[in-house]
Amino acid sequence: MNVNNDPSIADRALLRRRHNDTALALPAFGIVLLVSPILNIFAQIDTFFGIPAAYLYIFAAWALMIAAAYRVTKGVTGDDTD
Amino acid sequence: MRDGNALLSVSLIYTAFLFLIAFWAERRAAAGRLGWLKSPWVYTLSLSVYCTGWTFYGAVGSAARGGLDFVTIYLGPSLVFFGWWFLLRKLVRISQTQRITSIADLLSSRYGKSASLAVVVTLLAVIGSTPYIALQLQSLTLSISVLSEGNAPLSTTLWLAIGLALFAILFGTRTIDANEQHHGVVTAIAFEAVVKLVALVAIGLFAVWGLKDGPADVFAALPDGILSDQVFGPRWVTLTFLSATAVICLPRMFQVLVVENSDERHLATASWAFPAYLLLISLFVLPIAVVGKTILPDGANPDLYVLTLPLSQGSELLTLLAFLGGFSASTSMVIVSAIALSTMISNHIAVPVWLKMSHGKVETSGDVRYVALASRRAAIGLVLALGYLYFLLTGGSGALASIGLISFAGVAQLLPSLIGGIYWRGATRAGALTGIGIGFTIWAYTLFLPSFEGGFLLSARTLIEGPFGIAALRPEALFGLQIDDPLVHTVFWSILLNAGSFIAVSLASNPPILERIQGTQFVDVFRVSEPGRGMVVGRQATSEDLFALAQRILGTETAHHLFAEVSRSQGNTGGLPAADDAMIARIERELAGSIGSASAHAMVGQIADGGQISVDQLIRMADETAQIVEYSQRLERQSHELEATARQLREANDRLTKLGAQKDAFLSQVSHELRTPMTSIRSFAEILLNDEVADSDAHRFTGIIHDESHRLTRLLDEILDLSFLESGEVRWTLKSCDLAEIIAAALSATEGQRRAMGVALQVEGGRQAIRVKADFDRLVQVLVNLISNAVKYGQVDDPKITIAIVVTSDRVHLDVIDNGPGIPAEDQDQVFEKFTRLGEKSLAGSAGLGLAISREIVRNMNGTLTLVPRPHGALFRIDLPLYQATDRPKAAE
Repeated sequence: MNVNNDPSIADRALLRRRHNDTALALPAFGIVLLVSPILNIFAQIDTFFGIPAAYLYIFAAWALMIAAAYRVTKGVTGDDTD
Repeated sequence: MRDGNALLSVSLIYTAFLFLIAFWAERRAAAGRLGWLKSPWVYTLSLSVYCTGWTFYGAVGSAARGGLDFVTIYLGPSLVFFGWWFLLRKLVRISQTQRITSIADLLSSRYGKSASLAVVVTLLAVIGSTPYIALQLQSLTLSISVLSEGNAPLSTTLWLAIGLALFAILFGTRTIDANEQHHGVVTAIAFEAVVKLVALVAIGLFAVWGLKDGPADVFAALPDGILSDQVFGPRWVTLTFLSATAVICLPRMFQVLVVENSDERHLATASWAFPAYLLLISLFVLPIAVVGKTILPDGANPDLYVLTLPLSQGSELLTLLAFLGGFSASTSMVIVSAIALSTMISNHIAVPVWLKMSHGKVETSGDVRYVALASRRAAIGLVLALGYLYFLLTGGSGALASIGLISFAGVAQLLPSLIGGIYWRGATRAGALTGIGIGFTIWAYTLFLPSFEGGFLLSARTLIEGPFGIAALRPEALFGLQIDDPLVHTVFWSILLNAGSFIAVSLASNPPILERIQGTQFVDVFRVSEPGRGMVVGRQATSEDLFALAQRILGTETAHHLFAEVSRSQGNTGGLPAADDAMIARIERELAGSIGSASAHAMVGQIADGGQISVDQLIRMADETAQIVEYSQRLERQSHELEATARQLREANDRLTKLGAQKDAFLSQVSHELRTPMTSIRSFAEILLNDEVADSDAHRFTGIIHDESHRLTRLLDEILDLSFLESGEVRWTLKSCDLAEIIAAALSATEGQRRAMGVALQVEGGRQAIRVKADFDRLVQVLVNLISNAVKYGQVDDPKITIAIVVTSDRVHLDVIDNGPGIPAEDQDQVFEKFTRLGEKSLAGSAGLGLAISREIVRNMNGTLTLVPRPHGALFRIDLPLYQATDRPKAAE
């Protein structure tokens, strides 16, 4: 194994750790989006293109979180081909 | 319009189909061909057992009655799954390493393998699940009665309960799997998950684009009460919290999420796939509710819009699909719950009691299995009976969602002890028991019993005025705190007092050893367990610190190689290895090789156990140690060198001693050889001097003296010659010599001798000119020696000598063959030794050195002189290198 060509083991560990930290930030972010007074902002807007704003916001934010979770998962389970 | 019998047959066919799937899956699992049964998708779909009749029917009802609150039921689990790296992964890892079979098992095992805690948790789980099961019975009954236009007999629910019990028994208790894994059930509910989703989405699409003209049209005329200005509030938070708790603490969820999990990595897929499922299944709830409210008559039960919408429009296929969806949703919940609860009852109550009663007279493990299976079947019946009872006592008329929430609040009482158990080593059994006990009591008092509305334990008056008239203890307004929403009220008080007493009592109590050990095992599971099937996890900090330390002590390249190798052996393709016990021990061993085992152990221990010394300090220690080590290594190297030198001196000494001995032997032999002719010369000289000798005799004696002197001189010459040859100081110039000339010279030198003995000689081979690389005179000397020997020793009637020449690619064989008696086998080894004479034949003038000298001469010409064994006669072979054109005359070494 060529020490010079491979990313050093320590570097990879750092990358892994950063992925881990992102994974922990994800649910926190979700709580802020979905379980906080932000919801009431949208509740007060009546409709948005005819669809209730709060309803739209909740499902949009939810879908966004799912996409983010998908991305983070790939990083965290260490697809080393990344 | 559905005929009851048709409905029944459809249900039975569908059930039979599910059973087939389960059976097939079990067979595959038993044959070990698990394949895609173990895929993350089956796992994720099986998690959908979270979505029951409550989701299928009750969510729409909840939306129709009160807006967006229903979404919280699905947001909570989504958040938990987004944070899977945290909590779920730890739960799964713990359960796999500790072989946990249920949530009661988890808590009991954590808190010192406490049997009493297991019993308490089991009871709480059973009582808490009762409303939930009743809910399913209710939704099934409602759906059947709607479809049969109210002509369903009253006993429908009872028959449903019995049918479900039988179904659960058939599905889940045919054998006992060591891991408590039920592959058949899991596969069947994964299939049902698809049916549920497809059905609900189909109805949704039908409502939005079939009955209306798209989303805008749906919400165009919003009925009152569906949407409000305030979405976020205490109820929103409470509901989210409860649903997040429920996805872990509900017995059926713990079963499919943790116990049935076969690979941690599946959690990674489920972390986004399960929330996606939840999103899809809840997406159309609000539109369906709105459409239902606008289209269907006012008195219609909103819980059943999913069914009544297609029914009212006469689409039979959709109605059937909706019915099957709801059927799937309810039956899967009941079966999995019943199995999970029966496992707990049998493992923690029935079997221990039975064991105690039989006083250890258990003959075979077969007995235990029988009891376990039997008690599970009984337990399933019991659980369903309780559900049915609750259904009866509560009149079966409440809103589905509110019934479900009672269950959620009940199982949520397990949360503080669970979270505390896996994150806080200081949590104790006493704390857990206290917390759960208080929480359960408050829940029962403020939510569960009031749901009977005075029909069970708590009378209607108590509900209004408080027990014995004490207003402060009114079930729905404890301590005078007026919270309008009873759910929020219950959750607030129960969780507050539960967690509070749990923490307080844990701090105040001293756990026994076993509990402390279990505590460490659970809380530190990532540190002490293997990364389980492919997951690259680890205490990164520990691995990194160890790596830094190893670099200091072993050097960068060595450390890199070592860690990469350990990483590979753990099955990781890259990165640092996980800091498990084996890895730490290995690194410690390697370091010990350099700094000694005590220091290595101390250093590694500090890192792995998180000691007081910082890593920087350790590294400084390591640097100093490295310097000391280097110095001592230098000293060691020097002593090695000294040792090597001493060894060489000893060897040289041995060699000299041996040579000295050889020289002594040689000298003694030589002096012996010299003495013989000297004796002859002296004796004959004495005779001539002292005696009267006749003239003829005098002449003869003088001749003898003359001959012996010659012999002596020759001997001395030979000795000198041989020692010169052997000394390795020979400096000949090997030139190209014509073999024919050499043979001719040898023949002329021996002509006289040959003719005197009448020996015939013949030369074979060597037609063309052959040039060898040799010293001319010396080679002639060798050939003369061989021919002389052949003449001397080859005495037969018709003596004949043959000289044969054989040429190979780069060498030539010169054979001298006689037809005499040959050399006996036992003497063949001795022939070339110094002073050997075979027999005593005509040896005048021979000192026995001839062959020895010849061999040395040939050796010095890079050839060999050997005796080739043959049946009769003797063959001496000279093997010499051919003169190559590229050779130049060079000195022989």
